[in-house]
This record gives sequence, structure tokens and C-alpha cells, in this order.
Amino acid sequence: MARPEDRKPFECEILTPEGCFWRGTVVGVVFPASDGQMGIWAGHAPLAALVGAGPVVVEEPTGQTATCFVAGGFARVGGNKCTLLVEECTPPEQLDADLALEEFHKAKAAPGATPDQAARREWLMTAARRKLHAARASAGQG
Amino acid sequence: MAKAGKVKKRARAVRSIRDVTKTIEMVASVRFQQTHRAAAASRPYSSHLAELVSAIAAQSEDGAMEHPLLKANHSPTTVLLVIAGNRGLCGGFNGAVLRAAAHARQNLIDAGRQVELHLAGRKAVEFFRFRRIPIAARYELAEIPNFAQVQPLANDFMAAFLAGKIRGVEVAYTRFVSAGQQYPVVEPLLPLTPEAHEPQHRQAHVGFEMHPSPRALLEALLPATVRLRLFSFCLDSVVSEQIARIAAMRAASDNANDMMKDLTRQYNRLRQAKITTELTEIVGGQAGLE
Repeated sequence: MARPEDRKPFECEILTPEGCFWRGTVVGVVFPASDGQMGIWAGHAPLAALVGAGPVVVEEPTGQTATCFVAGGFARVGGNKCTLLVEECTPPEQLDADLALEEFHKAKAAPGATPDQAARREWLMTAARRKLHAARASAGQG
Repeated sequence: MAKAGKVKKRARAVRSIRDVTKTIEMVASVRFQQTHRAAAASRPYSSHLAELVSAIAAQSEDGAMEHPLLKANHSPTTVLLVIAGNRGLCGGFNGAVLRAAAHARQNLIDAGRQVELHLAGRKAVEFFRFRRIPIAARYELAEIPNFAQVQPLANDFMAAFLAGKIRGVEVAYTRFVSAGQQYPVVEPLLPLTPEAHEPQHRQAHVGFEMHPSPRALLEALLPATVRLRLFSFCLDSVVSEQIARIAAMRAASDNANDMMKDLTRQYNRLRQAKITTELTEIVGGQAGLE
């Protein structure tokens, strides 16, 4: 794998309905896609993708990385720019394990009578579980 | 001098009212800047979202999309969500949107629908409670609405709509166009209309690779559009409320200033007249003695 300083930079922004969460020049972005992690480098083909719940890692040209937790959204890649559209984006230090556990129990108690409801409940439970995992990992590092 | 005293007292009362209206105006202009910034901050997200929906529509064969959120159902119940303010002192802001909501409600009833009234803002609750119209639900919105607050509300509406419990959701709110133009509107939130999820300026789309599939993307994009639309309705309403409050309080301050000028002039005249009378009396008395 090429060193960060050898890779071509491109623009990346993480947008939420409440504003721009992060914007900058990066050499790589990794986000949770529907079937695993997806990595974007400069010159990636135009792409529209579903973003799942999990950590987004952006790698800056200096080699530094920034991480945040997202709970679903969309990625749009094109014109040497990567835009992540997410409804919820939390820096790791603001993740609260107790809150995530509460969200998990709430999701577990949600109705699941119809296939739509069951799918929604499953999605909420997965998102809460991943948030809990990220919160515990962040607290462990701290 | 009793009359002059009364005038002076009145001028003092008007001055204190002017101070209050000026303070409210200043607070409203700070809140306006905050809410306007929040509304502007959501624009990049909303334009990207609309472009993604449009890109998916462009890749489908005839440009048309199929999704349960786009189809009307046959439930007799329609939800009317009214977004008004929590406080008064904002001119015709609350009155205009509440009249538009009452009119829309009557139209829906005339069309044979059952209307479920959902209200956001204390003024809306007071208005419909006074008219003894049953309220199905009420919500408290923050001074600057946050997305996390609006998200569950939109999700509940979508769940009820997809389950066929409601025919649609109409939202009565005040649309913010510019600092000089805001007007009350009643817009459908559900089912989604083509104007609601398409960008205002269509552009040519490069062929996107869709991951995992256009269908799966659309399944997630349309609910996100509904949530965002409701959020932008709330933001528009709070921005409009602050603008209306600034205008109303500025007019009230100007009126108070005019009134103070009149009262001060009136007081000075009365005082002058009294002095003149006293002087005349003194001069008259002196002449009598001579």
C-alpha cells in the first residue's frame, strides 16, 4: 500500500442536515458500506453508495487520520470529490456507551410484526450495537 | 399641573414600553441570525440528496420511480401538521399560518376526509383549543429545531402512511423566501410529490455506479428526503417567526418614539402655559397693588 504522502489528494466532506461536520483534503476515506467497509482513493469512478452504521476514517495527506461514527447515510463520489451525506455523525470522544446501550434496548423493543418493521428493527439494533462497540473502544483508548 | 403630571407619567410608561420592544427586537435579530445560519447550513445536504434522487431517476428507464412513499392510499384520515410559534409579539405570523391551517382543514373535511390535527407551537394549541377542535398530538419544538427532534416525528408519519393508517400528511407552516418575503403555505409531506425530491435545476448526470443497487438506494433516499423536508419546514417556520418579530417590534418601537415625542411636546406646552399663567397672576397682582 502506497504511503499517504505518495497518494493523490482529493476533497472530502461529511454533511449532515445541520451543517458541514468535516471538510478537507484527504488521500483516503473508508466508510461502512452495506456489505462491509468501502475505501475511496483519488480518481475513484463515480459512485453512489449506501452508508451503513459504523466509523468513517479519513486519512489526511500528512498521514494523520480522523474518525467519526455515522449511523447510516449516502456516499457520493465524483469529480475527485467524496461527499458523505449522513443524518447522524458523532466524534468518538462524544460517544456514550450507556446511551448506546439504551438505544439498543429501545430498538430491541420496537415492533417487528411486518417485514418492514422487522427490517427497520434489525437495522436500528445493528446501528446501536456498532455504536456501543465504538463507544467502548473509544473509552478504552481514552 | 395635575394634567401635566399625568402626561409626564404617560410618557414614562411609553418609554418603558419602547425599551421592552427594543430589547425584544434585539433578541429576535440575534435569534434570526442563528436560525438563518441553521437553515443555510442544511442546504448543501439537501441539494446533494436531491441530486442523488434525480440521478437514480435518470438511470431508470422512463425517469419515473416506484416507491410506496410516492403512492397515495385510500385511508380516510389525513394528518394536518400545523407549525406555529410558542409566543406572540410577532405581528401577523401566528394568525396567518393558523388561518391557512383552519382553511386547509375545512377544505379537507369538505372533500370527505377525516382530519387528524397535529400541532407544534403553543399558539397553535391555543387557537384550536379555543375553537374546541380535537387535537390528536402536540409537539414542542426547540428555539432552533434540531434534526434529532424532527427525525422520529417524520419516521412515525411514514410508518403510519406505509401501514395505510393515514392517506397523507399536509403541513401548514410559514415559508421563508427572503428577509422581505415569508408567507403561510400548506404543503403535502406525504405522499412525496415529484417537486419535493427533485433538484430545482436539473443537470446532466454522469453514470453513477450504484452500490448496492439503485432500488436499495432509493429505498433509503426517499425516507431521508421526507425527514429532511420536515426539518426544513420547521427551520423555515422559526426563521420567519423571528423576522416577523423583528418587524413587529421595530414598528412598535417607532410608534412608541412618535408617541413619546407628542407627549413630551404636550407636557412642555402645559408646563409653559402654567408658567405663563403664574407670571400673568404675579404681574396682575403687582398692577393691582400699584
